[in-house]
Amino acid sequence: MTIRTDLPYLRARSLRAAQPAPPAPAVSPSPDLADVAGSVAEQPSASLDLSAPVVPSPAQPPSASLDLSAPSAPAAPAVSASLDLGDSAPPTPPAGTPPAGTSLTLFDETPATPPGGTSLSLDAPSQAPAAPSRSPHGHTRTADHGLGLPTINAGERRPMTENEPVVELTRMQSAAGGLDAKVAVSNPSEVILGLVFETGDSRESLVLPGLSQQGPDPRRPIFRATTSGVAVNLRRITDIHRLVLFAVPTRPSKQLPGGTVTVTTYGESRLEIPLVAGPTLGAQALLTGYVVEGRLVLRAEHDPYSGTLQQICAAYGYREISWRDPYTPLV
Amino acid sequence: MRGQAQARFESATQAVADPSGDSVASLLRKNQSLILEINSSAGDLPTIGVVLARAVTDTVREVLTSGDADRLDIGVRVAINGTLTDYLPGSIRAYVGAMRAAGPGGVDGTAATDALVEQLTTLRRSVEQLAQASRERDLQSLQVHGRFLEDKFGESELNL
Repeated sequence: MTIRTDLPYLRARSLRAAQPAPPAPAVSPSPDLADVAGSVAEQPSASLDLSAPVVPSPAQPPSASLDLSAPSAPAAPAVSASLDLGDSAPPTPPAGTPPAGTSLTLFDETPATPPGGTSLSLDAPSQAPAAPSRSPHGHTRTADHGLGLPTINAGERRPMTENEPVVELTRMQSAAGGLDAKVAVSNPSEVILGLVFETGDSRESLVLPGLSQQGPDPRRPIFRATTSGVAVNLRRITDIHRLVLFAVPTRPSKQLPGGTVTVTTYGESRLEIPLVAGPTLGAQALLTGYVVEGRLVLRAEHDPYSGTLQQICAAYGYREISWRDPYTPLV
Repeated sequence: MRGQAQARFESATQAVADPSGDSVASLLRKNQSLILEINSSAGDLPTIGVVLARAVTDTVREVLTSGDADRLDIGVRVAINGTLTDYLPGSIRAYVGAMRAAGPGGVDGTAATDALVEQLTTLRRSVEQLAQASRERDLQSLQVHGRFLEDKFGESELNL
């Protein structure tokens, strides 16, 4: 009920706000409305009271700006702000009393103004280098660190020995086509390859033949694993953060056959990683890849240690993967 | 198992017999354990940090396995020992600690990454120059780079 009376009251109030106040007491069917009319009549005065503090407030941002310039030229009206900021301007004459009251309210706001002052003095030089450098075409260009690592030409073969374990692909090689890893051993069924990876949005997962063939998202896979090898779709290099290529022996004795793992790029560059024959604990890390500013840096690990798949993943910092057992990830 | 225990016993006794640990064999072991540490903290490091840190360990390994590794100057071995046990792990641990303290999405790690990249780049360049000086038996350059590493990354004498 009260709500229903409120609604016509609001309508009447809006009408009277649009009209001048004097007709409002003339129309007074009920004492409630008369009270309402009185309150409405008071509202302009209240708004006038509100406007009174509002008026000095636009005047004070200039005073704050005057405070910033106060060390150079102390201005007369800036009393409170000058007290806030420095001892340099105490001899300034006192201003009018109503601004003094509003200046007390501004005194609480002054913590908001010093950041502005410091932004004028200090942040501007710090923000200037923080802005990413822009190319003449307006694209943001990431920082470019020359890594000074060995590169590889198109069509070149490179055995990744222990003394030369690193190859840095160029941006073109890192972004075109794909990366194919295959095993060259006498009996290809004795070993399978898999990839554990972290994507750009910090998700870690794993592809392994027979377990999860495609990742991270089967609808838009970047990594594929089949029994003949693994492939990385480099068109989505920007979604890749890092990866590890590992070999898993399929024999029950977990004996790894000797041979070579080849990794080919789109330009038919071929990296050759030796596969050392010997017993393992279930998996052997072969190659790591890190995407640095759009370039893929590949390194043959020549890891002297093998381990279960879980241990291998943990040793290379992939700890966000859950496991059914030490050999089987939960993907 | 017995062989492993024996090897562990031998390495322990060797560590006791060689407390300074700057023989070439023990430096190679330290290099290997540093590689393990870098790899296992790769999830917390930026990729460029991992790549640069591994470049440092590559250079160290190259020096330690070169033909005249047995005749390495004591200054080189001390500098490499400091790099492997103090300077490089210190940079990495400081970064990882800062990132973990900030929490996920806490701060933009650009400044910390820049500092890490700058430190690792400096470290790598100094170690490479040290290796080159060692190859060329350039004693003065050797001393200069060893002292530079010590001053830049070692404990400052002014620290209280």
